[in-house]
Amino acid sequence: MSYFKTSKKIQNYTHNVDTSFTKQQLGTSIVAYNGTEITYTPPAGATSVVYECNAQFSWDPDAAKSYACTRLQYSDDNGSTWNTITGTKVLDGTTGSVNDYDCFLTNWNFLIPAWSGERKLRLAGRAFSSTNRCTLGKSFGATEDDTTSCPHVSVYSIF
Amino acid sequence: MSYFNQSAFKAPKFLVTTHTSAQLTTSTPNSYETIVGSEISYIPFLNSNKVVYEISFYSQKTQNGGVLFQVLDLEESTDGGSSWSIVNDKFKKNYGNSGPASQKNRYYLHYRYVLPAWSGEKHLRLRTATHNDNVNRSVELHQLTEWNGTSATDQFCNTNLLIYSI
Repeated sequence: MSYFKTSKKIQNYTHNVDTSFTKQQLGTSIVAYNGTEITYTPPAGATSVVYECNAQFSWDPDAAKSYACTRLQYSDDNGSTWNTITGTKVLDGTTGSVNDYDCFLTNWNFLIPAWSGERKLRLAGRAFSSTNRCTLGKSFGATEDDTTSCPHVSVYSIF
Repeated sequence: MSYFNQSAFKAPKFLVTTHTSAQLTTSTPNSYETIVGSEISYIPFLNSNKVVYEISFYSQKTQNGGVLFQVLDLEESTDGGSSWSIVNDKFKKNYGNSGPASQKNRYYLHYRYVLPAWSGEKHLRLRTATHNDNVNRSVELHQLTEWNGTSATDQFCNTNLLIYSI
């Protein structure tokens, strides 16, 4: 959001807000994050692409220590193979001395070089370890113990 | 948040709220209140397909062991604010913890919602409540009670609200 100057132009704004999203408990295998994939073609002349995602995690099932190892990935073959983009690895979460049942906001903003042609982008990740698991998109209502919060993803190009 | 080119972001509208007192949320479970500075009326730009609502505000909990657990719901009104409904159940957010951590928690929070555009005027607001299983999980909004190495009574953080069409 704050990576560009007023003299730059923004184009091809694309969104993914998937309200059919289902929450996703992370284990120790890397998985694609539900609701974060976007197919995107930067317009000619774009210098960079911004990928933004506002999402949340809950502590479930490891109440004291929950960590998500997240990275931005791309695919140039329609999703057959995925590559992690350098510099986009992020570790989110908390460690408590007791069960703290923490829920935390994630607001990722990645600025990456533009490319030519169509490319898929997505977030993927895993729990830090088998005892540091957490759940993407699990939320709690005022009266509900298990609701869902979908990611809000935007992708756009800057010049 | 404000460095955008208006040819791409249509009809931007800002609301910067300065505070002179803390907003103490209720410790009564399941009792919602509006975050001061979160309510805005908005008419999307003609033929836009999305509206982005972004808000930043400060929250802390330093009492009662520092534990807090808040539920956030984005609400909308089409009758000028007389009646409200939740925009989408899948937009529910939380922050904080529910355990006996005995710590102080402070957050500068930024939430971003991408909404389908609409025609005409709507009011939007962000509501906060404590989960019903939790007692004393309330928070103090907008005021920093410690700053630059000492306690403080006159330090406040603005609530910044930005809404625009795509």
